[in-house]
Amino acid sequence: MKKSNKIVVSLNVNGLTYEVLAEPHAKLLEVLRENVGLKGVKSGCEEGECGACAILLDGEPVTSCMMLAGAAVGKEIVTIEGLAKGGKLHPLQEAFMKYHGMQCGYCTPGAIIAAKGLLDKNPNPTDQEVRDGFSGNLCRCGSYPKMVKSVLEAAKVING
Amino acid sequence: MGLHERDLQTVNKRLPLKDAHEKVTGVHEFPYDFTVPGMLYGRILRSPHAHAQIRRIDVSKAEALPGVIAVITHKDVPAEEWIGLWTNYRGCVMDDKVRFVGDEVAAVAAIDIRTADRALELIKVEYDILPHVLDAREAMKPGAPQVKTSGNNSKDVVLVKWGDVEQGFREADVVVEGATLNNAQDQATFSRNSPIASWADNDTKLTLWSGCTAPSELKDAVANLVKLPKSSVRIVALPTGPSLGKWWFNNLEMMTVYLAKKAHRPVKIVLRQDEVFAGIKRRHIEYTTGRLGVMKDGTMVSMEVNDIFDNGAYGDKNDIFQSLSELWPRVNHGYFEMYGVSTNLVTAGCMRGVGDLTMNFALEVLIHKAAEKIDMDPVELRRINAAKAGDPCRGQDIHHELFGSHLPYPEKVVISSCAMDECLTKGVEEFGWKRRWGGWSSTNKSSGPVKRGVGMATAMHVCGIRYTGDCGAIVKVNADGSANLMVSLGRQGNGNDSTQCQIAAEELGIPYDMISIDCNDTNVTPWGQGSTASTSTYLSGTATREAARDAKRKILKLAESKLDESADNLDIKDGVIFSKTHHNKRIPITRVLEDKIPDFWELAKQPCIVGSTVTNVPDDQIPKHVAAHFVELEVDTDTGEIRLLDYLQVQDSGRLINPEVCENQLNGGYYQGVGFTLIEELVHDDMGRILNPNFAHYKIFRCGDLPDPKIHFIEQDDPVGPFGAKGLGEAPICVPPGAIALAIYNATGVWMTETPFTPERVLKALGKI
Repeated sequence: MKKSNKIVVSLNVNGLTYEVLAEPHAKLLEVLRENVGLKGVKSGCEEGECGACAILLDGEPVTSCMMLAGAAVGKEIVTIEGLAKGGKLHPLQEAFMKYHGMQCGYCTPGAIIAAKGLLDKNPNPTDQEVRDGFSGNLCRCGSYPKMVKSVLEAAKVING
Repeated sequence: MGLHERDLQTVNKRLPLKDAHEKVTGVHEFPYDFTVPGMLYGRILRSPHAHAQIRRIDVSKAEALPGVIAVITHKDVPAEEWIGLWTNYRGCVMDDKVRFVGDEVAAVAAIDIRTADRALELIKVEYDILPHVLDAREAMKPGAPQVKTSGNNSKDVVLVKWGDVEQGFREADVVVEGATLNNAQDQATFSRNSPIASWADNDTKLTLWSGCTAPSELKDAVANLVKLPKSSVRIVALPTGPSLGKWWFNNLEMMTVYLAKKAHRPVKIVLRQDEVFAGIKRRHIEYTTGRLGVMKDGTMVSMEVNDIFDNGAYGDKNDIFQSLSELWPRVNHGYFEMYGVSTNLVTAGCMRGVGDLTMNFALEVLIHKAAEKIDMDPVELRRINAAKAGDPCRGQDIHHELFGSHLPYPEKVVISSCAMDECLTKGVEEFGWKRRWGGWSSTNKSSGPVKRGVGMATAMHVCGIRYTGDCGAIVKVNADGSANLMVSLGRQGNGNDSTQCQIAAEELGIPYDMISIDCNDTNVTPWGQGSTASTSTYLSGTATREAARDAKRKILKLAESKLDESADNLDIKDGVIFSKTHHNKRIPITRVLEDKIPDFWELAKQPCIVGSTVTNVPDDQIPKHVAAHFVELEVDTDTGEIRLLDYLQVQDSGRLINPEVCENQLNGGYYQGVGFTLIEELVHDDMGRILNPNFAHYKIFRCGDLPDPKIHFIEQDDPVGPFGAKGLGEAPICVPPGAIALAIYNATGVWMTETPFTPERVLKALGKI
């Protein structure tokens, strides 16, 4: 029997620490989905183009299919599952529901994560800044106009 | 505006999607996310050749690899072909030939994906290469390589004709002609369907979880192939992600079924992104030629379209013709012929707007050209000739011939409603067309390289077709006045599950949040056409409304004694039963439905209220949805790049059930339709290999690439659709190429006739390269 070359990876995900056993070349996407069990991190093109697997890494939106799990050690990871607090949805999630910022829902978790990354840094973005914020998120259903509206409306709520 | 017999409570309202919470929290489970206990992972070995005979296939090393549970080849599947009702596939699950690069040769089930992938490398296949043919026109010629197992590569011609077109062209003041070529668009979806099959009870029961959009049709196809009673085959349609026709259902599901059977374990086949592009199905490549004859006063007199489209290796369609003649039914002479031809390219099949996107582009350019010849505003030429309610619907007879020739055909078949005239009027007004359209002689005046132009076009598409099965619906009312709706839709993400709930809630008279839907499990729902051909709002919606009405009748019957009123004089609104004439007679619906045992929290004597129906829509009044689009753009004549500046859509889909859902559908049609027109093309080499099976090389529009479209609806009630609603999703994708082509002509004086209009093709058309 071949000896396993798996490594222990310690990840901080949504404020909790997970120790998982993974191949050294395992992608962060795969570990978040299969080892941590967070399937809101969607597996899309797996080549960094679609953004369905976006997470926040120390506040920056990144595609988790394009980095190794080991590279995320010591950093704070936030996934779509980490947005609602105590059962209360984040204003972005509320806005996406209310303004139909989605159709099929495949890109939605990644898109909301990208929007959160934007609003955390720029709480009052312009229409163009929101569009730029979605530059890494493909929506094949073409729901972009209502996604942009959802973010602008959420920003109003966040800013009170 | 249409009128209603009462105020609407849930229909025509901007209500949230039923599954919105699941989607924004990430728990919405797609096939790739879905697992069952004991599940194995499957991978597919695909052909490297466009056409070859399998001489020998040795799987012994793969089978011997630790962790591999089963390997299947063509020897493990039925020798008979299977056929989808909508002829998106006709062929064996696998046989001893391969017919496109990517055709299934074998599949492996193993304990994990990595083991399955290693096993694929251990399968040895010896091929005898056969000559291949990639171009539909070549495949029609005598002596071309034989693609199909039997019969000609070209299917029998499908014809829609009336009058005598040659006579019409002789009578016409002006005759224009032209040809278009549409290259292959891909659905380009990053959701990778991963079906899971699980056999039980000594192979007498089968469950298949798949991201498919036509679960009932899939159940029929599977049950026929595996030879089990339909009661023993259960399809659970999981959310598909973006589908656009890709995940209707495919041979992929059949591969999963047979791999799981041999493995004696549940198996989930997982696709790579390149397989999604190059191994499932795509839009047809189409060559269209046509002629149009008009009088100087703008009357169209004769219209002819010849369309040759490739089915790829396993598509089997010849009926992609949907609505072309219905948009122009007043023309005296019409002749439309279509040939579906097999080639050695990846299978082609239904993609959003099938037929009406491609053929309509050819015809719209002819209408533009004719308008120029008689120096008439292109809007005006359309207005003079466009369909109106009550006009003949001639394309129906081909569907009757293909699917229902044993049924009587009505003497007269007409379009039930069509507000094209109103769409054009609204578009002209909102876009400022008269101000922006400077006439045919007045193209762009700029002396610089960037030229500006405006354009417009029209389209029509079906709301499902008749003779491909009716839809059933069941409404079960609970003791607390809530209800469960069961109707077969699948979960494509087009909001139709929410739309159906709005229809049922409206008819039953209960709030939207008191109704839930099961739309994806064939053990629960009656048969239905699913989410295909823009049909769910119309066909399923009609069934849903009637099932709710049936349940309501039963509730009101029970209320008669409590209110001392005839059921005919009672109705329900917002969960309250009331007399139509005696306003003091009102009781909550629960008074009829639940009879609680005193001082006991739950046990109650409950009536069994179940409403059910099968759609019984007329076959002589056919709803169609129509759209008119207007565009302004810039062409950089140095680089060939096109930049959209402004885009406006007007659509008639009858009464809207949920305006938010409808607007999103139009947004999607726009992004995908402009994508088809300008950038999207699946490219292949002369060996039949797809060269861009990924998002790095097959580009789709991102947020901010295009201006948001302005959207308007003409809300006129259709006389047959539920609450006056019609289909909606496919007309919006059919209009952009015709509108953009006119705007480019307006800007530069050249007609673009091959899609997509890439910078290279634009520069070629301009004579610059």
